[in-house]
Amino acid sequence: MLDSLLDRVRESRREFVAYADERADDDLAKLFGSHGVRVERRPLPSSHVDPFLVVSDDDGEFAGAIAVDGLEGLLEPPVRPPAETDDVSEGYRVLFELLEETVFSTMERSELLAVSREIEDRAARADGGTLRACFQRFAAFAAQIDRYRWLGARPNLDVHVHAVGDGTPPALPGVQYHPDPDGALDRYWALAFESDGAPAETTALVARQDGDTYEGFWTDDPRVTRDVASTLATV
Amino acid sequence: MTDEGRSEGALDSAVEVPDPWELDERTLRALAEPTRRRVLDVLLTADREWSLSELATVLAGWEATASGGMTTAEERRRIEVTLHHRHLPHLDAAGLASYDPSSKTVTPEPVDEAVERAVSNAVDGEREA
Repeated sequence: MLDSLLDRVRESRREFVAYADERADDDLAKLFGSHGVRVERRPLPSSHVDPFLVVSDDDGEFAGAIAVDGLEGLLEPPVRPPAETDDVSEGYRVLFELLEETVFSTMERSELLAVSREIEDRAARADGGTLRACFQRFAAFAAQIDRYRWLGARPNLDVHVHAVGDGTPPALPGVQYHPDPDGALDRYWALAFESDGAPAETTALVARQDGDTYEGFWTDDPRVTRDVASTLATV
Repeated sequence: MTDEGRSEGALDSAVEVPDPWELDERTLRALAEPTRRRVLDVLLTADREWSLSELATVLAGWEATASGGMTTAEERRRIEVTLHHRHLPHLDAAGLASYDPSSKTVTPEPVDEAVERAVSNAVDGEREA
């Protein structure tokens, strides 16, 4: 189910330790907050040492230590890993992988709409693949009918629309509907596109509504995308 | 190792030499090595017990800020081994810290003001060097 997928992504958050005074808090939050990393700050061990960050691997083991001062240039886009990537030390590898990782966050409707557009556009641009989308209410889908008519007409693109709420959607060439009579997807805003060709186009969004906001993730990870797509397909 | 011989035998040039009449031979020798000075500086900063592991991590971080690069897990491991087998027993023998090799914990010992000053000056001097 999408619930367990969300839990899995949420739990993959990492925690690093920084030895720094409170002046580093803003910088650390800016650097890592958007990458799903929590930073625990401990006091500087000496007034003669500059703030530094301890990077840990998946198992929480020490992977490297680096000055906080040196991080900013490293993590600001465009990110350029050190030239000899084969020889890059574990600490750098962990940091660079972080930037690619699936991140759990809170999202607003306008952000979700923008991400959904991006995913649909990627599907339209790609050289074939399968797009799956679910809609919480019929009105939400009704507003997108022209767009899905256009997507359904793309060559080599399979479009599956799940759970369109309580209305009857019009027949659109190239678009298959999958009702959700049990309401399993009621709280979800989700899309998944799996490309037949370049894996770079593969992407998925899952968000669960919680009152006025949503929380979830947007990923380019092919494995996570596969899980989202197959979960939607089996509802 | 030649480095070891040199640093054990004489004070590094970066060290601001404390008044030799104030410190005994064993203390001077204990302070003669940069890693031991950093350890002492850490112990004098926060009056608390340190695990060998965290102390090694902190020194690895210190090294990273000094070198401007990333200290690797292997380098940290080397620091930990050297602390355990050499520097911490040395500081313990000089009465500058207590090290329990079985529990791998380090605790500060009260030290003369002259030692504190010597450590602080030396570590400070190395930072600017």
